[in-house]
Amino acid sequence: MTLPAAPMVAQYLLYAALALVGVHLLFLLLLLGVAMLRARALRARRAVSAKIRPALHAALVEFLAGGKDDSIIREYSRDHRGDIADSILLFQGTVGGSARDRLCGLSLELGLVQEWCEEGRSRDVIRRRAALANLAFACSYEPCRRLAADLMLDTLKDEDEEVRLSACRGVLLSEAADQIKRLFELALQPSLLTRIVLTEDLRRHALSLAAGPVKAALRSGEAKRARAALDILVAWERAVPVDDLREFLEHRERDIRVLAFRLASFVTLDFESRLALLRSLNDTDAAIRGLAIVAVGRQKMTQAIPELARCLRLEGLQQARQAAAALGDMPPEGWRALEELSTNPNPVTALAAGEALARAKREA
Amino acid sequence: MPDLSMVLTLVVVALVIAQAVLAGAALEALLKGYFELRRSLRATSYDFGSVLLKSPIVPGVSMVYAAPDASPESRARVRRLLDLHFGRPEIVVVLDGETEEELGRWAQEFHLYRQERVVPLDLPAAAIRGCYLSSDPIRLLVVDKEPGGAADAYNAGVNAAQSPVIGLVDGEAEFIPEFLLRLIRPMLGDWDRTVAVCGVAPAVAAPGLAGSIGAIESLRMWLVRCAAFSAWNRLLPVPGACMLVKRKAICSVGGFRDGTMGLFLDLHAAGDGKSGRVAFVASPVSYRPAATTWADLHRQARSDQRQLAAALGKLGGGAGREFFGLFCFRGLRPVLETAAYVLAAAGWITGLVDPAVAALVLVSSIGAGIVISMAAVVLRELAEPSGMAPGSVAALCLTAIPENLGYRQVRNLWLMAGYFGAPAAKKRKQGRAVGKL
Repeated sequence: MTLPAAPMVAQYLLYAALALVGVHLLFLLLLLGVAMLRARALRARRAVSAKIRPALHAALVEFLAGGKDDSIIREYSRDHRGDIADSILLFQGTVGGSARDRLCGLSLELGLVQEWCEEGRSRDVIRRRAALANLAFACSYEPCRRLAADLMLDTLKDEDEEVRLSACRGVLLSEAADQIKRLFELALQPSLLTRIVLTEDLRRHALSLAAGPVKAALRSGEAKRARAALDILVAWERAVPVDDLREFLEHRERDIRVLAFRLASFVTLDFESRLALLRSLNDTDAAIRGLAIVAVGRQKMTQAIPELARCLRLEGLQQARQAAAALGDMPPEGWRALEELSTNPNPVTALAAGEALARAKREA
Repeated sequence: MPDLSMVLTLVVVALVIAQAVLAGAALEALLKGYFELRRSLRATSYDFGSVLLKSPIVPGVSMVYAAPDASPESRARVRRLLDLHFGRPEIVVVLDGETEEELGRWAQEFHLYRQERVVPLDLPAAAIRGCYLSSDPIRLLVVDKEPGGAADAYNAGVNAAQSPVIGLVDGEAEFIPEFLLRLIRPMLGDWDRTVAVCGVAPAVAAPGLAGSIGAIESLRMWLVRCAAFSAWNRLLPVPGACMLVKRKAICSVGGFRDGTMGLFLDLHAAGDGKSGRVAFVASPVSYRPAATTWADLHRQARSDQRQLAAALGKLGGGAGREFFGLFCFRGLRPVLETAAYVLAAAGWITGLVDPAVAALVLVSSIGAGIVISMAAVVLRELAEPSGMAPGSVAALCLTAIPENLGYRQVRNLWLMAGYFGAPAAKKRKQGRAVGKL
């Protein structure tokens, strides 16, 4: 049983397959040519940058040190604007005060700020991102801020998170109370990245925010907002006034409790919150007991010494050590308790008490 | 004889069709990977590294490392992990049934002292003999446990880890110290949905033909098994990858059953696509060093096949329908292609198969292979220029020809031996050998 047409069909199939592969190869060779041209252009750009960057850096250092000769920078600014911008931005983490103002002023004079403003409206997200990052740096200088103010406010609603974050950082430099409040609200949103970046920039407004927006977020009744606000307060690590932390120390959600206990270590506590801390030394959750021990120690609550001594006697080594450290922070009563417990028949208690006492005396 | 000729021709044609389908799917996956790479590389700029480094809001990461032995290389790897740039990294080193002498070497190197601690038993693992901390100012926890195998060691490490995110590094990976800062970004952007992040970049081509072929293989893997699979939310770790996985997610799937690939398969199976995103970081955070010799190529192919066989199962039934395509490419394709060569050659020599049909086998395997390899080089350059000189790009692209004329056929044999010759899972778990995951 054979098919007489089979060899012919096979031959046609072979030609078709060869043609298909050939077309693909031709197309790929065309793309390879494009890729090679791009590779050549990129390498040429990099070579030129590598050649002029050292001179540019040296000129910028001279300029920042108070030098008046900016001729090299101006000369390069005509043909190598990208390199100038990159070199200026290299200094953003290392200069502050008047040197930073000089740098931003130079960017303004060279027309870079105006260019960044234009690129900030580009449809290309990478260009927009770079432009906004540059502007966020330049906005520390008031004339630059004036020029970029509208763009910064517009891009607060950009679809790209990084563009939004750069815009937020720029807007925060304006020190306008309503904007600071607005950005704090943004920091309460679910994106952790936004919260992390803005928390850092909002830190210097901690006191003013604690009086209003922070309080409102904590009292909102929404667990997510309260958790975010506590997250920010813990990250600030500042002794801002927080009313009635007790509610959060005894919250039904463990995450919120953990944050509240971490916060309790460095904020002023009212009577109710201190009582809640004392009660938590008997909590069923070992991690919460550990956090409560640390907070009690940091607050130097001498009324908790009997409870801490109990923890030292009954807890495992890890928490016994924390309790002992807390007692070590409360001389002389705490030290006396440690002296007594260092001879306890329980080896864990004796070890932790002995270690803490020795360390406390060494550091005193 | 005519009947035999007919049967043989039909079998060869069926094999050709199967190869053509697989080649078409591979090309489609390459294109998918290219678009995903473009999207992924434009999505993040890594400008906020210094802020992430300082912020206490960034979740802590515990790097779990199951040390295969106490050799200077293993200890050097721990030193490298200790040098990671991150706010609160904890390094958990698991010693899987090491002897007193080996433990002593670790203790001497890192100034370890024993610490009594209660390790939660969230995941099943062999008994812990002791926990050790360093008296140096480093966050190092060494867990000494009874022997139980690689997966068991990783489970013990996760149990002992105190951070909500677990970091893992492939045994062959070379990584940059900032990789945690880069990998954590996708998690921070979408904390609720992202359960894991995987980062890897292709290796730079080593000199010589073997090096260039290794580079092409690495590019194909990066575009398809990383970028394209990420676009389909089916990302699995590849050799040389660094990973972050939420501790809760590991616990929810019952821990490691067989290496990191098995863990990721379980994560995909447990997630519904929306709540279980596995993100891909395409930037050069880590890579597997390029093969420089033919022996390297053989070793890399074998080890990758073994991991895949362990995770997917010898018959592809270990991972569900979602990964059947991967099984077809790595398990079935070499078998089909080799069978096609043998049958076509035998048929052509004996005159039972028309020469045109036999030639079709070559076009659908070698011709398509050249197209796919060249496409991998070109698409990578278009997605993200590698910085290579134009001549080197062209040379790499043309390496696709010798790769498919000879090497490809030998590699098929390596792939088959690696996949179907891999030891069974139970056998692998015996003893204390903590291999490369």
